[in-house]
Amino acid sequence: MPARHRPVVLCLLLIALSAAAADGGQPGGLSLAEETRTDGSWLLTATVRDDTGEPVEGAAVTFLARTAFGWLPLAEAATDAAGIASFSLPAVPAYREVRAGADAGTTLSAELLLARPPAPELVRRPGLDVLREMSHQPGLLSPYPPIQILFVVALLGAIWTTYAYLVFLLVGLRRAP
Amino acid sequence: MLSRRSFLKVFAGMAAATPLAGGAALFRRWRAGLGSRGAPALVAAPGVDRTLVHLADVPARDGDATIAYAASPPAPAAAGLAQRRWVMVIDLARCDGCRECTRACSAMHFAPAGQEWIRVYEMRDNDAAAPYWLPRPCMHCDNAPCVKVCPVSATWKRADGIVMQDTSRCIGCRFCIAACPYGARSFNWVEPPAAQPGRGAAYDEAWNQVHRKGTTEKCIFCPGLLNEGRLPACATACPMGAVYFGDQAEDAATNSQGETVRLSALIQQNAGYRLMEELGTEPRVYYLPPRKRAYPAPPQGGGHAVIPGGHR
Amino acid sequence: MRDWLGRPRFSTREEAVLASMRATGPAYYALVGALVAVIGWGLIAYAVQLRHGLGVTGLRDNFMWGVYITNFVFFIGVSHVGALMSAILRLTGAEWRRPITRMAEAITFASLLMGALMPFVDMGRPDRILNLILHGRLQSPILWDMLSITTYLTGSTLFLFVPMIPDIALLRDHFKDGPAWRHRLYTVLALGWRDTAGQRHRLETVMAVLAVLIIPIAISVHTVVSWIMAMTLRAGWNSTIFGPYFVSGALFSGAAAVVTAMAAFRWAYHLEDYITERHFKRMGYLVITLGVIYAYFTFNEYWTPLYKLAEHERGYLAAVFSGPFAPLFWFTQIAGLLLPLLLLTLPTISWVSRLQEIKLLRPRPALAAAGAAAGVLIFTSAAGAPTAGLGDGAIVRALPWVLTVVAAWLFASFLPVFRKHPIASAVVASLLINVGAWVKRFVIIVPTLQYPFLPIQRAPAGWAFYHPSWVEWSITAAAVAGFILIYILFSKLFPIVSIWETRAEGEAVHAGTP
Repeated sequence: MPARHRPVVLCLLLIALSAAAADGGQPGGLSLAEETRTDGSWLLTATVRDDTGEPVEGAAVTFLARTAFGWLPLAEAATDAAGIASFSLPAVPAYREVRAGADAGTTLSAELLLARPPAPELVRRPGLDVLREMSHQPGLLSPYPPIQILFVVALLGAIWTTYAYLVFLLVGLRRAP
Repeated sequence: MLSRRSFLKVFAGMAAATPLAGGAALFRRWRAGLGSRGAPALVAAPGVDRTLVHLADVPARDGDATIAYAASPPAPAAAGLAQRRWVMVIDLARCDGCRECTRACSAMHFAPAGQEWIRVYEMRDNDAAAPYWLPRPCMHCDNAPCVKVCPVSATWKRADGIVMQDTSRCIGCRFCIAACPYGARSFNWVEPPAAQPGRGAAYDEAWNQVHRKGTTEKCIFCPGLLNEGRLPACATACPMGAVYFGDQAEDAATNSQGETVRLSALIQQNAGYRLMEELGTEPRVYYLPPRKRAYPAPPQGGGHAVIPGGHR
Repeated sequence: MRDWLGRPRFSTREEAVLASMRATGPAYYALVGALVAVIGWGLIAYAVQLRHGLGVTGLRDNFMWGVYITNFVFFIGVSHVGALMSAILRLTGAEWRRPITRMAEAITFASLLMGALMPFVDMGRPDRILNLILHGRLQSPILWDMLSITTYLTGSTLFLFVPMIPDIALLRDHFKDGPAWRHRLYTVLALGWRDTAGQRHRLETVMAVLAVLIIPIAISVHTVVSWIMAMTLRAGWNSTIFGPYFVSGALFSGAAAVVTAMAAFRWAYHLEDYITERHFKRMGYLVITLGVIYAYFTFNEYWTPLYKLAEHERGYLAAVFSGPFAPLFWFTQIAGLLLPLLLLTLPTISWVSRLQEIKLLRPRPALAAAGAAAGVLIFTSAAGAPTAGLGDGAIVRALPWVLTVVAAWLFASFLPVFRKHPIASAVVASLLINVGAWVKRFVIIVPTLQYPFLPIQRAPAGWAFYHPSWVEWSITAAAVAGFILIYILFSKLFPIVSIWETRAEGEAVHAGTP
């Protein structure tokens, strides 16, 4: 960063810090909280408050999840007397990021990144795994159960061994009595 | 990727409207590593629990996903993204046969003349049925006949469902073309024109913009674009929003009009089907029947049998 | 028949066999030169294909396979006769086979070489041929083909060579013609054969093992070749009986090829002592048997889908029975199967000679009619387009029928002539069988591609139908020429009739007891 921009950035930084502080103290708006359940699902709770901090009843809250290419609407719920709308997010599909949006006079939204356990590794048998890792485009041996390889090797091996034996016999013809 | 230019646009808009929020955004961007070219503005750090991020206040032009997934390293093209299961849904009721998908696909991949990796057929199932348009990309079958017969693994199945094609390994035996019941594969019968300048200077199987004589090619669901969090070229180009694309694991699909819908509901509520289910190929492309078509039907007699291009 | 040391030498009868090894002269060199020229032309065509890609062929996206794969299946099919003649007849103790087994085995060797070449000609990237080994996948029937054809080629080469060892020893000892390298070659290949009891026993062992081994290998080879088609989902290829269907067709065409070779060598080198009319009769029975089996499989293959008329199978069935491929298909069934079988059974049909009593069925009026038809055809096509010359569309449509009627007339009028000349009729029959076998492979492969599951739409101009190009025809001609050339060179180097196997029964065969 060029040095002459530094004062400007510092200035903006101060403003940003103050903005962040203001964010935290705001009584109104939409807040989203999650709660893990034993079965792996999540209870999402959106609380809508007005500017004075009072809960808003009957506000339509939309829960959305981030997917690969956009926000997927999951459910809509109206807030109750406590200003709370909740939605039970099932364990599967495993969305990482959810959002709640509400229209209570102004458009409010809040996002939450869910703590998901890391995706399970695909379990592979170690022997085949080694072969498969050699190339993502599996070659001669890797994509087959060993029985097929054994079958082909046994069949072709038997034939070629016989050939070799016959050639051996022929080469030894000179010494035959 | 959020480029520097679009970042500046964002910054200008912010600064004009709410200097406070703009300052905060800049602050966060600075924290995320300002100055490194191509770094995303905001990182939804998947490793950190309960990070509260405000993506919505950045009006990204390419969709939110651009930012959220830019931070993850690109997956190796050969293996695919382990957690993804890509699926395409084509709503035949919305397809009006404009062939924008075909054009966008050919432009994206510089497909040689005479090849259409997503071909729009004029179909009519029987004399009593109405004619309709049928866009046919590669079906990316889970039980792919082409993958079974390839003698050199030049075509293979990725973890995320994509049937890939490596023209640097293909020996040109054309067994895969014979095996494919959908006719989704094309062959470079003559030397294809040199790749256009741009991304396709070197061969990258994820983009497949460089073509070689004597090899087989086909639709590969644009893994290069998917890595960047963008829809495949055909899905983006469809002016009707008839092509949905998404991740089956997330149960979501998005079309060019920004509609993101639940994949299972889309298929179940619209009697979605797969082409030639009876062959057992388990395609990853679903079709919604051409019910209550709002657009002109194809001409009854066919007649669009010939396309330009192709050697004689 | 023994020299002053008591060693066996060639009798005058056997000298006839050695004639092919001494063959020189204008006719021989003209034939070899012509074959080399055809092969050279084929190599030029292949160079053009290498330079410009497979686009110089008639193959297109919908017709990804064509004449090359037809050649492949045809040549691999013809190669099966070696296993049939040498192994099955040897195991069953059919003694009449002795003079012709080597001819059959040489056919196996030559056509297997040509057949194995065809997939490589068909490849889009022959420069990446090593990928088949570096990245080969056992899942692919192409790998199965590669493994089984290699195994069969090795086995049949052994099978050709092993019964030849005593003959090579004879040549080493007594055949002094030709350059010195020939003698050295015989010395090496004879493997020290002295015709002792122990050596004979060992040779018999090796031959017995090979005979048993080669039969399943041969059957597996053509089954695997048929799987290239049958392992796909395409209507017309998606068949469970392709294995036996192809094997039966292979044995049929291979046996017919042996009949042609027998007649050719008998005519060229006067082998009447070895190859008698009885041999043609025996081979005729064999061809008839195999043809009936093949006809049964053909009927089964077409009748089951024809009865059901499933949606996707209608297209190719209609095309084959009454559509654009109907002339080819009916040619294979009538000229490639029915007429040859009739020709081969002629010697046992007594009423044929009475046909000559009918004036219309004498050769002359039939020939006159055929000549007139040909003349009209040539005149009208010379005058302009056939359609313009013949004027009415109805006449043009009737033309194939007219030609068929004239051909049938010609055939019927020549039946008594054929009956008088059984060898000529056997040769005509076997040539028809082989042409029909090739066309049949074409009719199995191409019509299915014309009717894929999704209709052929938006194909570039000229891509919606398969027209083999000059490159494909040139390479096909070169393959046939290569087959004949290998065969001739083989007969130049080795006796085409097994001398030691026919020596014991020589006098018996000579006396006419098969």
